[in-house]
Amino acid sequence: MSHALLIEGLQKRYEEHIAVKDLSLAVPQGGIYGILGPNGAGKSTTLRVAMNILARDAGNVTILGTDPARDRRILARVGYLPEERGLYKKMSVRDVIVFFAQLKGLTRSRALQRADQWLERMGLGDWRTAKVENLSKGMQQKVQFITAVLHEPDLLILDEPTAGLDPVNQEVMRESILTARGEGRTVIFCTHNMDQAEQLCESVCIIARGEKVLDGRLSELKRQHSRDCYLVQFEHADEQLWQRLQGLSRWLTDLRRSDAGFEFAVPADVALGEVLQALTQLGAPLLKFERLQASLHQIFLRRVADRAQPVRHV
Amino acid sequence: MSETFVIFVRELNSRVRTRAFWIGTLLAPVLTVAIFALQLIGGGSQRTLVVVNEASVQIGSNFIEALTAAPRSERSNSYRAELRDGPWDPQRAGLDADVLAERIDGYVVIPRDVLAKSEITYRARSSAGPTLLRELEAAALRATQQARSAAAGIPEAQLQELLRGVKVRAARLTPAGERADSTGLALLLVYLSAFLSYTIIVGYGVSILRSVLEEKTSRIAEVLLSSVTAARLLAGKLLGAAGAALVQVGMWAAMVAAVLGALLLVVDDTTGLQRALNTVDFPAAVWLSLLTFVMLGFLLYGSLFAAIGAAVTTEQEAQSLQTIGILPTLIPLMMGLRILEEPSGTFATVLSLVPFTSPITMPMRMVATPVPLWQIALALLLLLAGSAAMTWAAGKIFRIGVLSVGRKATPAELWRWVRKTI
Repeated sequence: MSHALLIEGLQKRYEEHIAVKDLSLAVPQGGIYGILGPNGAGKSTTLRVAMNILARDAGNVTILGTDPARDRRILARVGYLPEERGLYKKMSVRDVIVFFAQLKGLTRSRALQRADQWLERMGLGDWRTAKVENLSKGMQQKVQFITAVLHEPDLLILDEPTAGLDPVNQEVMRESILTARGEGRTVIFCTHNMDQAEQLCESVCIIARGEKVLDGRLSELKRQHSRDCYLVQFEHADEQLWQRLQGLSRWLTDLRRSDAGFEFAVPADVALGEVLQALTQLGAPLLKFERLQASLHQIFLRRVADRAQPVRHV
Repeated sequence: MSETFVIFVRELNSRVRTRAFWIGTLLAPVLTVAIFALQLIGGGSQRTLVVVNEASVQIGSNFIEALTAAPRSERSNSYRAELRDGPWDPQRAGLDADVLAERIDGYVVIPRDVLAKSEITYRARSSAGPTLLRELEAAALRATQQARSAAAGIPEAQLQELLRGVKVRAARLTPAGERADSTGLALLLVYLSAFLSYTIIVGYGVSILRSVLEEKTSRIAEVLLSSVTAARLLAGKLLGAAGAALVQVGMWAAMVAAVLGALLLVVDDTTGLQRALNTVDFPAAVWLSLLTFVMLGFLLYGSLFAAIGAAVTTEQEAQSLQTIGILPTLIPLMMGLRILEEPSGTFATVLSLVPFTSPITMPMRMVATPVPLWQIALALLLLLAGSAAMTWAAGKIFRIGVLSVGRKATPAELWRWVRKTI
C-alpha cells in the first residue's frame, strides 16, 4: 500500500539551526494522523518541506507516491491549511475561495458552485459577498479551511486548525475533519493540543527539537505506556491533600488532578506496595486506587519534557 | 487554467477593479493638460520700479521707453517706472527704505559711465528672476545702442534696419521627408513620454512592492506557495501589473484620439492643428520600440520592487528602500531639458544605454530625434540582460524572503539567498 505521506531521513537546516533532524514517518492512507510536539519542535517546517514550500537539505518525501519536488502536480491533490493563516482582506469571501480553488485546478464555475455549498455548510452563507476584512477571526479561519478542502483533496494537511477558535467553532471544525475522514480522505493533523489529538487521531508521531520521539497507532502507544499509570480517589480531596500528594515525588511522577481524582505514574524502580502505603499514610480515607490507560497527554509529557527547548525558526 | 494566469487575473482585477484606478485614469490627462496650460498661460506680473539715471537724459528716457513698451508675450512683465535724473547716493537710503517697505518692487541705477562699462544696477527685496533680468538687459541694451548710434551719427531709421532680427524656421528631415519642427510640441511630447514611462515603471512597480508586502505580512504567501511555485507567482504578479498599466495607457490613448478627433470635427480651420499633428511623425517601429523599452523597464523595476517587498517586513522599511530604488528613474526627468537640447549628446546617449535609466531616457530621445539603430539595439540588449538578471535574482530573494518574517533581511542575507537554492 502506498502511503499518503512518506518521509525518510528528512533534514532541514536554517543557517546555524537544525530544524528537522533525520526525521522519518509514514502516514497510511485513510484515517487521521497526528503530528504532535511542543512549540518550535519542527512540525510546521516538516509540513512546509512536505508541501515543497521549503527545499529539504536531505531525505526523501513522497506524497501519494510522488515526490512533490519532482512533480508539483501531485500537490493539486493536497489541501493545506498552514499554521500562519492569511487571506486577501479586500477580496470578497466567495472570490477568495474561488481564487484558491482555481490555483488547485478547479474551473471557475465548479469552484463557485462548491464555494456556495461549503459556505452554507460552515454557516457563512450570508457572508459570501462580504469582504474578508469584515469577518471575525473565527469566520476567517473557517473560510481558510474551505480553501483547503474545496478541491476535494485526497490528503488534507491541517496545521493547528482549531487554534484561536471558540468551542462552538472548534466543534464545527472537528465535525468537518471527521467528515473528511468519513469520505475516505487522509487527514494529517498537526497540534500541541493533546486532548484534541487523542479524540481525533488513529496514529500519531511525536516530534521534539526536530527529532522523532515516538510514533505508531495511538491505541498501541497507550497500551505500551499504560502499565505504570494509576488513578487514586480520596473521600475529601482538598488543597492540603493536593500539596501532601505533591510531596510524594519519590513514588509519584506526572501527577495531575482529573475529574475522577488524581492521576500519576509510578517509576519503574518503585514497588506498587510502597506507593499504596505512602497514600494510606496521608490521613485521608482512600476510596479508589486503580490502574489507568495512559492518556496521550501523559505520554507526551513523559517523553517530551526533557526535549522541549524550542528551536528558533527563520 | 495555468496557475500564472490565475494569479495574473487576480492581480489585474485587484488594480483595475478599484475606484482609484478609474479616478486616476480619468484625472491624470486632465491634470497633465492643466499643468501645461498653467505653464503657457502663466503671465508676467506688474512691477513698479524707480529708475535712477546718472547718465544722459536721453539714455534714461530711452530706457524707460523700452522697458514700459507693450509686453512682447503673455509671459513678459509689464512695468510702471518713475525716472529720477541725478546721482544715486543722496537718494540711496530713501530708495532702500521704499523697497523694504514694499512701496516699490525695486530700483534701477544707470551709472554715469554706462556706455563705457555696459553695466547697470538693480536692487530689490526678492531675487530678480530670469525674465526680469532679460527685460532689464534688453531695455538697457536698446538705450545704450541708441545713445552710441546717435554719437556715431547714425539715424534712428538706419539703426532699426541694422538691428533687425532674424527668425529661424526649423525643419526636421526624416526618412519620410521634411517635417516642420515645433519646439513646444517636441518639449510636450518628450515630457509626456517621460511621464508615461515613469508612471508605468515606478507607479506599477511600487504597486508590486505593496502587493508582495501584503502577502508576506498577512501570511498569504505560504498558502499561495503550497499551490504555485515562487517563479510562477512572481511572473503572475508582474504580468498582472503590466496588464493594468497597458489598460490605463490604452485608455489614455483612446481619450487623446477622441479629443483630437472631436477637435478636427469641430474646429473650422484645422490647418494649424493638422500642421502640428504632422510634426509628430513616428513610424510603427518607433512606437513598438518605445513600448518595448517601457515594458522591459517595468520588468526590471517590477522585479526590483518585488525583491524589496520580500526582503522587508514593515511599510516603513519598504518606504526607505523604495526611495532608493526610484532614484535612477528621476535622473532623466530632472535632466529633461538637457536631453531635449542635446538628444544625441554624450550625456543623453549614456543615460539611454544604462539599463536603470534607459527605459525613460531612450523614449525621450526617440521622440526628440532619430536615434541610430545600433544605439537602440544596444540599449535594448543591455536592458534585456539587466531585466533578466534582476528577475532571476528577485525570484531567488522572493522565494525565501516572502516566508521570512520578524526582521528585515541584511544585504549579506540577500546575497546568500541569491546564491542558494533555498
